[in-house]
Amino acid sequence: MLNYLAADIKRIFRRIPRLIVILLLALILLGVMGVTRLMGGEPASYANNIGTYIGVLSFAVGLTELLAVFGDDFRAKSMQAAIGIGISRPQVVVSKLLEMMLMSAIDLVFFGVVAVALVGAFSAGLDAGQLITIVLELLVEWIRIISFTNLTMILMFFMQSTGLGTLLYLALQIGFLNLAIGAMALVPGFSNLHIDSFTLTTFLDAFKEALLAGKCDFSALLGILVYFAAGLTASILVFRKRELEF
Amino acid sequence: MEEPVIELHGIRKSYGKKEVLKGIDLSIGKGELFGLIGRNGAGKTTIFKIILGLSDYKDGELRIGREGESIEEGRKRIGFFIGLNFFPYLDARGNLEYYRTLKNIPDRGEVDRVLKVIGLDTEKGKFSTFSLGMKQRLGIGNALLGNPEILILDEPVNGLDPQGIADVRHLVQTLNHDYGMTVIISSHILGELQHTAHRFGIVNNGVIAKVVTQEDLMAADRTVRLRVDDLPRAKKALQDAGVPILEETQEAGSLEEYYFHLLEETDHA
Repeated sequence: MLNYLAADIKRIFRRIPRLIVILLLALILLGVMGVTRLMGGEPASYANNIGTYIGVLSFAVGLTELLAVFGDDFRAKSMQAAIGIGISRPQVVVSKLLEMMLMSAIDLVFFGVVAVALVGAFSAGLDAGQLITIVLELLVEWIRIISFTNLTMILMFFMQSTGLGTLLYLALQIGFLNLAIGAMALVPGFSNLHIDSFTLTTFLDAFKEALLAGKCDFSALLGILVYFAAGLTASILVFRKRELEF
Repeated sequence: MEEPVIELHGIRKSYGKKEVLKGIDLSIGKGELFGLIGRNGAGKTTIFKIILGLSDYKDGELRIGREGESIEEGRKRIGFFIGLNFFPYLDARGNLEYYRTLKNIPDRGEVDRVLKVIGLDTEKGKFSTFSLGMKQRLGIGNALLGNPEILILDEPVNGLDPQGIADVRHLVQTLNHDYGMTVIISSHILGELQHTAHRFGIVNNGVIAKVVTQEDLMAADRTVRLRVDDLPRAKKALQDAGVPILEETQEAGSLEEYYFHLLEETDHA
């Protein structure tokens, strides 16, 4: 399983469009902060705005890595080759999730370093509290990417393509599904169920809010873990007997 | 037959309501060069996919590798070429490096060795720019990475020119004869396969209709070729049984003829 992971990581680092997107995102970050500075923005406000930047960047990072980790593999059918040489299907699913965790973590750390360096370049620097906030923001965004990818994987492993999975990922990231569920809560009969309190997005937002306030919301964390375990199990189950084409 | 390295017993497989494999029994011995033939959609690729774990099966038993080994362990002994599992943005070396890491082959020189064998050692272009023949050769190269004990090749000569076909035949025979590699190969080019394999499994109507050897083919169609210095006189002389025969050669019947004859027979059975 680790060989599969290592082969894929090396392969992804050689993927030129991915590198271009990552560099482009770094340039956009530089541009946004530079323009803010030119327009006379207060240096201290950069640090406060970093959370927003990281949120937007993580959206793009998740999508980029989703296509690099899953899209290329489905197109080249290298997953079939991995299974053919004796890697079990559950190991393939877990490997893909680990890949996504690793690649998004590398990207977010890179953007975190770039963002902090830019704040240093444009203002007087960050205090310890602001630095911790940035780290926590990055951590929460990473959990968000992984949680949404984990749910998206069910559809991708079932369909053997990234098409609909990518749409689901986008719907989760922009909160469309949460909105839809929120709207359902207005329907008589559903309102008493409080479904909107049990969505993954609700748990992630509650966890983030608590974490940034210096606390840990254990019930939100438990909700995230339940979604995580359920998503992973479902992916393994749908992929277990799936017919794989060459 | 040597100790079997792949055995299928009563394997059944359906796609929806259509049963494509109705109880496949097949045993491939160690060091064998086995040809699998059948119509399009007969189930040859499905048999390969079942062996490789890419397709599920309903009933039956599958064993790969050595006695007592798990199927996953057994699969690690297989190199295969079924489709083209390559990344378009990597070159031949990059793609083989990917599979070298995946197969956990520590020898970094292995990719160079295989690139030389398949004649792509000087090719610098990306996979997306390859001709079909080059893609096929890279697919065969991938199967050879790490010197597997068992080689599965599904239609490996598709898209190759006559020289390429001859090269693949020579390569497969060398791997089997000189390195003792067990090879299972399928092809639509029956004449070609007849020159390559020792034993042939004919897939028809969801079963292995017959397993035949080169000797069986020879016995099935006894053609006698006579070389004489005067054909009309020889014919007459033959009639009178008085002209000496200068050369007599017994040739094997055509696999192609045997195959179509058998299909006709089993279809009407």
